[in-house]
Amino acid sequence: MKNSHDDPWRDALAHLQPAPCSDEARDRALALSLAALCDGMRDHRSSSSDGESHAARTVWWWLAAAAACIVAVSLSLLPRGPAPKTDGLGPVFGQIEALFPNQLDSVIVSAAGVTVNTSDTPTTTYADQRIRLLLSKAGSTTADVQIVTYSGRRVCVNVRGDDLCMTPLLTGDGGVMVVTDTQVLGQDSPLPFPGYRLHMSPMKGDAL
Amino acid sequence: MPPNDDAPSDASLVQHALDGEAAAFATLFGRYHGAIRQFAYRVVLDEHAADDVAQESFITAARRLGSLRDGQAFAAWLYRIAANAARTHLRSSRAHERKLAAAVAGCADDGETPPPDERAARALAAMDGLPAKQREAVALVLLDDLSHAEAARRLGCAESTVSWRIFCAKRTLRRKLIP
Repeated sequence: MKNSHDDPWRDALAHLQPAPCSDEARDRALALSLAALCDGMRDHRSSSSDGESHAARTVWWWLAAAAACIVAVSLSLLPRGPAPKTDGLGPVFGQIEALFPNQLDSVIVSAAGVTVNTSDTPTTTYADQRIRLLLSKAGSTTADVQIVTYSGRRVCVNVRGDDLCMTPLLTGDGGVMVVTDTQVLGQDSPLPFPGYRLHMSPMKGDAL
Repeated sequence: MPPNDDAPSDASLVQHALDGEAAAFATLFGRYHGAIRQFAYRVVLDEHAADDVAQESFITAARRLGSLRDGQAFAAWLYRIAANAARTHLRSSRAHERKLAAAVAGCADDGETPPPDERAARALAAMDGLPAKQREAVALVLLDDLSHAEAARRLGCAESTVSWRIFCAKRTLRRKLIP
């Protein structure tokens, strides 16, 4: 049944429209959803494996262990760029964090100087939610831009005149992913700026 | 918003998301976040609550994506999650009542055509007079122009149930909206 005769109702209720969603609310919802996706996939896999027989699980465990060994050895032989060197932003971040308790969003160090971003509204922050992002030219051993922030906070940096806004997230398995306005980046994902790479890592409290 | 012909189907995006591609889920998010937030607003009648309900809906969908058997049914499944999240919010929150009381208090009743914000307040107050399940049906059938069958699919009930809810809702709304 279609509702072509319902126009008077639509006119009467047409003003029942929400204002546009803020970018902040939308980004936060997306970031939390992607983190939940990681958790959900892990739970789904583990619950699926619960249904298997013990014998099958044993076989799979040995096969997986063997495969993991092969992959680990292969990866160790592959040439790969190390994380770019930094000049110790961690301790600085710790000091600034102490100056702005629950108000610090991020600290960004680039050729333009040090930028400290704080929030007007205090938000509880946790040491185990810290994330370090290093933006460097491919092949370079030093980072052009260093960022320390918290999981779920949006940060923007300027790269060659273009703004790159992103929200880093801690994943359920202890890794980091970065969500931009147009894509989701992993450790080796290509950036929208050719010739650059983004290294992302969680910062434990003791890393400061 | 449903995909156009060139865009990947919901089923394809769901499968890619299940294969670990977060970008596929981000595409589904971009495709449906606005519609789900609007649906939530028309049920909970508060913008901040609608943000919360939409966020909660996508978090739940992401967490339970592995249990979705038919990826093509993603939209209907997501709407059912949103409807449940909105009902849970209404049960647990009284905040919307304060906002609506203010909206109703500011509603003109002098017989003249009210300005747009007052018409919005009148529509808000009229919707507030409906039970949540009737609001859901009104949002999908009268405002989004879905068929009763499609609305029933998204709300997880029988088509006749949607028809009955619309009938009851119109009876209530007529008194408050139609001169």
